[in-house]
Amino acid sequence: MTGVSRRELLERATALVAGAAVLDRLPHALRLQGWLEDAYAATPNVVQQTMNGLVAFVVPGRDRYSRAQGTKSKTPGGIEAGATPVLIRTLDRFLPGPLPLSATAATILNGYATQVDPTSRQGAFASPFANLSFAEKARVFQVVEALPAASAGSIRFLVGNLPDLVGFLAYSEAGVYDAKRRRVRRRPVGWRLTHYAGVADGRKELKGYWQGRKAADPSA
Amino acid sequence: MRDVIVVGAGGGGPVVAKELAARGLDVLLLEAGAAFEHSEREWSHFENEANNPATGVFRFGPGDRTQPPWARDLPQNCFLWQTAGVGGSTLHYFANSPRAMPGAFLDYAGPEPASYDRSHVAPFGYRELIPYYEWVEHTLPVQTAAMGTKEERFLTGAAKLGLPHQTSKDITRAAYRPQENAILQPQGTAGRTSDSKKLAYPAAKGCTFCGHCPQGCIEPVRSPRNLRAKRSTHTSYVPMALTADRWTKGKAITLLPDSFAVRIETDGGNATGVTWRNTRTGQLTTEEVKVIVLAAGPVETPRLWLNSGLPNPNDQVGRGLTDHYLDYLVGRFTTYTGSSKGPTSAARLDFPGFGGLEQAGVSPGLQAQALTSSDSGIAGFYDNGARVGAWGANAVGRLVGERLKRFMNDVDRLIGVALITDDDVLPQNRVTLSTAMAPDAHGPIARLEVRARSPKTLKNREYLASRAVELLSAAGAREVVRVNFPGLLLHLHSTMRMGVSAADSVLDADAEARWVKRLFVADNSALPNGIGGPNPTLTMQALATRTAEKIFVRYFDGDPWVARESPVSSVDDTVTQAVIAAGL
Repeated sequence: MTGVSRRELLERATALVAGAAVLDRLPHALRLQGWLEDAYAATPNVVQQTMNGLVAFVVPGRDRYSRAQGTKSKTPGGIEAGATPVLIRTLDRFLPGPLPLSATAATILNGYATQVDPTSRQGAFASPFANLSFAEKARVFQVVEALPAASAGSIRFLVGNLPDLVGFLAYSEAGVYDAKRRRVRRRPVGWRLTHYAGVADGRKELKGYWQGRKAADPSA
Repeated sequence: MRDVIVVGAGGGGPVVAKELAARGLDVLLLEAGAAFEHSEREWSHFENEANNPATGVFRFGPGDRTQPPWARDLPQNCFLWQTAGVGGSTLHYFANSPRAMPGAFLDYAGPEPASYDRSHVAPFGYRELIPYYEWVEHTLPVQTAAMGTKEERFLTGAAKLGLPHQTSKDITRAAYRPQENAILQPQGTAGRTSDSKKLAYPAAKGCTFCGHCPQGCIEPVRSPRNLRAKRSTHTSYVPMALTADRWTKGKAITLLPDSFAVRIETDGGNATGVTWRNTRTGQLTTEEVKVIVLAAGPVETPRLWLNSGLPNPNDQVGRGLTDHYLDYLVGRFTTYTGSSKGPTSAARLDFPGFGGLEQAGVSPGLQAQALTSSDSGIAGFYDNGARVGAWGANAVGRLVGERLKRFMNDVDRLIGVALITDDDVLPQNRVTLSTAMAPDAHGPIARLEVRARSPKTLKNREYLASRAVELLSAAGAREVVRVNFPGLLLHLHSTMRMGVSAADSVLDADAEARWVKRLFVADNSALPNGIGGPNPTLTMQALATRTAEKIFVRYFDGDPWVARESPVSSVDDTVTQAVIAAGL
């Protein structure tokens, strides 16, 4: 909790609970866990490190987050693809509010990370989640997915969608897209990883028609 | 006073709008999202630019992309894939246009009736719908899909299973076939070159095999809007509606984008008007009208009903959601499949009473998204106790880490199979108003709950999964992954269902609301059930055509036309000339 007083935090939390939130259940769930203040206090550094830890988990590479989780990869991963900043932007745009969704997500991942491994508070990163091994990160998702839907549906929804959102971003052009010029600045990592030919107006791929039939049989 | 207001320019609304405009009625078509008047400049082949749920062109949100998307309350792990804007979800759809299973209709007398949801059948016969199918199939048009390598492998695998080749449009037995797709067949250089310089219209016509169906379709480049390969309503029905005074003796519709309907006005049991909010200015407008057609989709239509305080005496508004309980299996091959090229889905298997399987090939981002979305945990680590079978698949669950990278090593050595379940109507699966999340500028937001699956739905899904593994193995896959989607919500239906009984349905047999006259529904929410598993758009559009006819006869003293006239195709030269003359 850096730079924000407890009073300020409580005031902001009260404003949130009073109805400014766009996703009331998440703050409620955070409050039940005692994490609401942590979420407000999550610094951009912690959020970024947590998201780096998540991106490296889904698509590991040659970066230090991947090495920290014990993954040895010879090829680039999601972090080199530039997925992390787009992930944060996507989350925060998806549900804008006084509490950024990326901070909420980071707080949840870090909260459960400390349950999976209490020693994860200490490590190379300020994010406990980023300090976990690959198997421990998987355990975090296992714990969240086992939460009762009635009380933690919004947490399950948010966390449940994180891996596929990361997968989508890491393998798409998201990290290298120049919106102004409507083109990629360089060949996206995801395209290289998958030997994808790239976008095109068309492909020489037509093989004809099955059994030569170009129309359904109206009398059949 | 205007004749008709249609709320929503997605898959169904433009069908009603075009049909009634062609009859000379004065029609206003409201669309909450963007107009997409300059789609060649506004859309993109790039996946994140198009499909990012928060920032993409094809998100469910306002046309002003500096604004956030519209929120939904989704209290379970799921992904709801809808697009706002003229064309709606037909902008990202795969254009698969099979007819429904006859067992989903009132007149079914075929084998195994108990294998269908006979408690919630359509309140009319399948045979009655056939002329409307034919009308829509000619209008879009729907054509037999051409093959690429992935279809060749898929269909060869299906033939090895001993299944017959279905050559009819009607589904009569378990069989395989190329899709009947709302995609124009390739002509000229289309499909025959990768050289973009040679792929502009008119050298290329129809599908160019670009592989970007989920990112919309702007191919062939420089083609008139009504000659784009994929027949979204943006390309087909909307241009026809906007030019109904030119290609026929009708009246061109008025289209208002950025117009979010917030209230249906009523008086004495009749619908009398619509109030909408301009999403750019915030201005509210109310207009009186003779007939209203709701086509905002199976999530927003019940929301609008409930936010308008319309009657709901049997508590069925929003209930009975069906979604085909989709799943996805992917085979990894040692040789080229061309999975990222060509129409996204151009081959299928139908299993009456169970649902179907269809080939699905997408670009790397969407492929990775699908492989990392599961209700069965992370493959190799945990399975959440999910009671789904592997049926011979090498893994069940999300792929992450090095395993994902290895599997995705060559996107063109994969074949995906989407599993489309014939699922049952259950009242606890529903759309209602959220009390957990704050209202937005258009009122309380929609909450979508998927709470239960019937034993038959679960059995159908497992049967289809087992057949999918067999299919992929027969096609030569060396490794198969079953994802077990937690809920990929893109075939949504039956939340305002029409039904035989007034006790458990919202609409009568003509798709008119039982408790509010002059109010009709013409989107997927009007469907009585999951139609047996086939992709719903064509059936919904056939039903919307029938509904337009019912409106014209009942409230405008007109005559029915589908059985008496011949439809004009949206690619007919008269339409092309009208589109060009109108500057669309």
